[in-house]
Amino acid sequence: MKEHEAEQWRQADRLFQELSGVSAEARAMLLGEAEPAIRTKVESLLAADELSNGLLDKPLDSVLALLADGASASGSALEGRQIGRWILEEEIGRGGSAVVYRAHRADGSVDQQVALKLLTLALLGRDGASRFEHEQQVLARLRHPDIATLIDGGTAEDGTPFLVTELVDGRRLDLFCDEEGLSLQDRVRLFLSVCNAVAFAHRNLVVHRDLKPNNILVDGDGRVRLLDFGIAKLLDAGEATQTLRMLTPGYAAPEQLAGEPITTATDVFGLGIVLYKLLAGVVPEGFESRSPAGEPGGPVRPPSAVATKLATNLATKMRVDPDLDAIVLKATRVEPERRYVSAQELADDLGRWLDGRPVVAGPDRATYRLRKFVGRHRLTVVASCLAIFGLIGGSALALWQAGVARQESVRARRAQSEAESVTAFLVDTFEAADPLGTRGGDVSAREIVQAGVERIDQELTDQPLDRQRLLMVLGEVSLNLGDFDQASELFAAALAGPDMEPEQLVEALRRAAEASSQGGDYPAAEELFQQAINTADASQGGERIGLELAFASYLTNSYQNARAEERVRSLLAAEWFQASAGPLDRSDAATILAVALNGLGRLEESREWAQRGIDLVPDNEETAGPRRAAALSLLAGIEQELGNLDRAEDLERQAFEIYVAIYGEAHLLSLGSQNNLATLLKMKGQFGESAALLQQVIAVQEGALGEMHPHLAVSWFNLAEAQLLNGDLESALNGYRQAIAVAEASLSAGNPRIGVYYGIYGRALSHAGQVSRAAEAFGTGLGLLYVSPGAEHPLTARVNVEYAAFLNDQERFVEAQEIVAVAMPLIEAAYTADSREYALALLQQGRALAEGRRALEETSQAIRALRESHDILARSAHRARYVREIGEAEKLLARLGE
Amino acid sequence: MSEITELLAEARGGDTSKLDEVFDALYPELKRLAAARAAALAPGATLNTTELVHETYIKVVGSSSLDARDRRHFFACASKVMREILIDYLRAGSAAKRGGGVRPVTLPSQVGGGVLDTDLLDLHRALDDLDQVNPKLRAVAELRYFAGLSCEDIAELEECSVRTVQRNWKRARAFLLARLEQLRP
Repeated sequence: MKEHEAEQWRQADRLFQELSGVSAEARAMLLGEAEPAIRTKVESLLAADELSNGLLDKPLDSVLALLADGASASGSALEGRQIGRWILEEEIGRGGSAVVYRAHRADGSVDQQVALKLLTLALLGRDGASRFEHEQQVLARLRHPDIATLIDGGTAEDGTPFLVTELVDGRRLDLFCDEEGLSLQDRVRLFLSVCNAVAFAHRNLVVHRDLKPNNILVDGDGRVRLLDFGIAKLLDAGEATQTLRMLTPGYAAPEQLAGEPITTATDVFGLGIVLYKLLAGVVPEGFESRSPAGEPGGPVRPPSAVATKLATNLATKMRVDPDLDAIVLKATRVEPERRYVSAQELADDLGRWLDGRPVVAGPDRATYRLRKFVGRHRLTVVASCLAIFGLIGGSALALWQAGVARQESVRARRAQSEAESVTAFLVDTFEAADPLGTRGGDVSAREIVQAGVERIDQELTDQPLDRQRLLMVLGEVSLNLGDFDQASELFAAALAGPDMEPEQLVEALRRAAEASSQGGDYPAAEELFQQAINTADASQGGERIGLELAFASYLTNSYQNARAEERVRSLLAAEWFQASAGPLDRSDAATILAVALNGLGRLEESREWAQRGIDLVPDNEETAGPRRAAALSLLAGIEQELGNLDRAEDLERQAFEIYVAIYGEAHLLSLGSQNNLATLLKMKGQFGESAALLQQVIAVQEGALGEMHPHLAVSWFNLAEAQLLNGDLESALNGYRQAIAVAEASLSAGNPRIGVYYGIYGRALSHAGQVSRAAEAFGTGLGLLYVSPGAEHPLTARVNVEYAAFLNDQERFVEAQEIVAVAMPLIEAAYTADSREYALALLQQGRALAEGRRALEETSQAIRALRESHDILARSAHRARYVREIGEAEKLLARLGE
Repeated sequence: MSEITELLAEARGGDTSKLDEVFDALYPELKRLAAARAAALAPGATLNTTELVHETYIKVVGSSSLDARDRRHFFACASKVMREILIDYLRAGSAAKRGGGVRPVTLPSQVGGGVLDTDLLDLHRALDDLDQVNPKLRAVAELRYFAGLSCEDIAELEECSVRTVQRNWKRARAFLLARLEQLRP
């Protein structure tokens, strides 16, 4: 090209940029001013820009295949070689990223044939090795009869990672179905067991990510066996591979092709395509030729439209009816949120179809459109910084402590009747294992509970009353061990037993509600509390006050502080409360009200009520200590918020001393208090000291609670935070990962905290400049939050606001604006007009509008939002915490004012 | 440390001629790998450039980690190599065709309403033109098309915002398509 022509192109390029996003009239005008040679070039650029699906939008893959010409296959030279503890035999499979060998143990100790997979493409970056190891552990724990167990893993001498799994001798699911000439019903039945295995893995927070007939075998007994669970994630784990996605285009979900975060819905899609293949004999049209970097593609056509082809090949005629079509279509929708929520739901619907009952999958509902763009962003949600600190900082712990204090008094009263019971000795055994019961902790508590559960089922089936009582005790122990799922199950089992006296029933419902609340299943908690309250009302008995307070505690725990305040205030005003409440009840009510007010940001009021909570505790009361300590700890948290750090430290130390005097240092309340102290040190800028203290706390906690307790997750987070501030990025990121691992292992799958924790991690990654990994972490946390507590929950809305902040940071203003528009009404409904939550939402709205503005009207809207946000934050008692946000608003306002 | 990482380190020191050596060293490496991978493919399966480039990266870098500038240099070289390998292959193909041998390699693509066969060699030429107009845009196009990197990947590599990369890709893409149209006989 001649230089003058190149210069014309340069000018054309400049004009082309100016014209992008400009109205047609303005475009015509500006073009008219350009000289003809440039004008034609600009026009050709604009026309080219309009083209889609052109040469440059398709990857080069088909060309590359041509390079195979003349190249010879590389033989396998590895037979007989030892890798780890294994000797390789012949190659039995090969894919783009791995070679699979049959192998056996080198020492011959066990005569076991295994499949050893060498991951030629798994690249262990800087922290890849530890992550690889961690993932392996997670996968090794995944034990299900229909899932091939991971036996071993490691790295070969040359650094190539490998995995060892059971060797499954079987046929591919689809081939099996065809070769055996299975009927439609039999296919669906067989596929159901695949769904169940996947659902099991999902409950264990493992997503397969690469479901396809290749990975689903049917063995000689006709049993399905799933291979390679979670291995795609392992491959994805290395830092260097973050840009490299492991997937099989023919079966990958649209979000995988688009590089968006993976959730359980991704597996639902994979299952849908596998089912499609079983019913129609082929994968949906166009799926085979998809490319990993290609367009996600549109909706899938119903299998019945193509199934006829297969039917002619089969002895059994298959007629895919509209219901089965609907099921496949629902599983394979482009938008993850429109698919079945889980593999379990898909399984349930298929079960209904087999039984001839109506299926859930049906035509799309109109409401979908309203939620459409919420859905578009569902997988990329970030946790709000505030929510994070509120969750793991002082007030949440104080609240938890207050709950414990109540529980102790209940326990004291109950102990007498239980002592008389025939099961007293068993109870003692179990309670000895309970870290709260022994006031010290015991490592093997979990095992004892497990043994207890089994024993109950074996020995007490014909003694329903004893069984019920023990279930309650075990539920209580599980609750204290932080095993909320188990606790919920046990309480539910107890409730399903013989009818209880109203008073007992109220108590059981309350404990069940407590377990659901702690476990983060808020809808269940709400319902159980409601049942308990109704029962108490009807019987006029029961622990009415305790129940009301527990309910209020739950409300604060689930971020519904305004409702909590209302509830406690009306309780305090009720005549029956005033007539019957003892000093302890009043103290607890005051403390819970203080927690709610703290959550609402009304710190002065909160401080008053917390102080009242302390003052109301009578000195001679047996349980005065824990109560006083809980209130002191809460006060410390409030002073911390107000910026009185020395005073806060003093209060927290008082609380700590009380706990140590009663329970010893290894108790979780003492440790929790130390955690708070460490947070204070961190806020005082003593990052190193804070980290050192936390390391100490973690060591003791691991000894006392086991490595997988929710409290440990909090400690790990605090430690990571301190390390981050201390400039130790690597340790910090490791800490976050550890925290998430602990949270995932110890909390139930639906617990919103896991989603929030991923958000914290993402935020840290974002601060560390690792944007795409940050997005991934956010993404993982995300889906979780949309499933629970749900799209409409205020927590999710706040998290959306934080996500908008992230988008704004990434200069993705249009998306940020959309997100805020969704979150804003929810924020407005849940928080007052002078709240920080509202102010922070306004700030992000202002930023998005200011930066991405197109119209004058939006500029003035941006100014309004920023001004209001600025004023609320600057007036707030928390302003010290929002220096950066206030500055940001000022800076933008100054710019917009120009 | 591999030869290539050493060269990258020297290039970082300012000796840009070392980048040519990186290119030369990567060429046989990538080509060998592409051929080996392609040979191992099941019939009908395809290979993608992203995997090849990344696999090469791992081979070259091993367990050590590269700093941002070295990574940038590596991927810039690798995408160029990828492009060169393909073009060499195509040239060999068209030479053979003249001799009455292999079919020429064309990429079917939908442009406008009709289907036209765009020769990859034209794209090669258009890229050279783009280099003359704006070398930065050429680099983005190479990373995107020949190394198969996403805009997010490139942004991380170039340490700039995703939006900037998207904008530059939009510009490069429009130029290349417009230019291809011009080059059409």
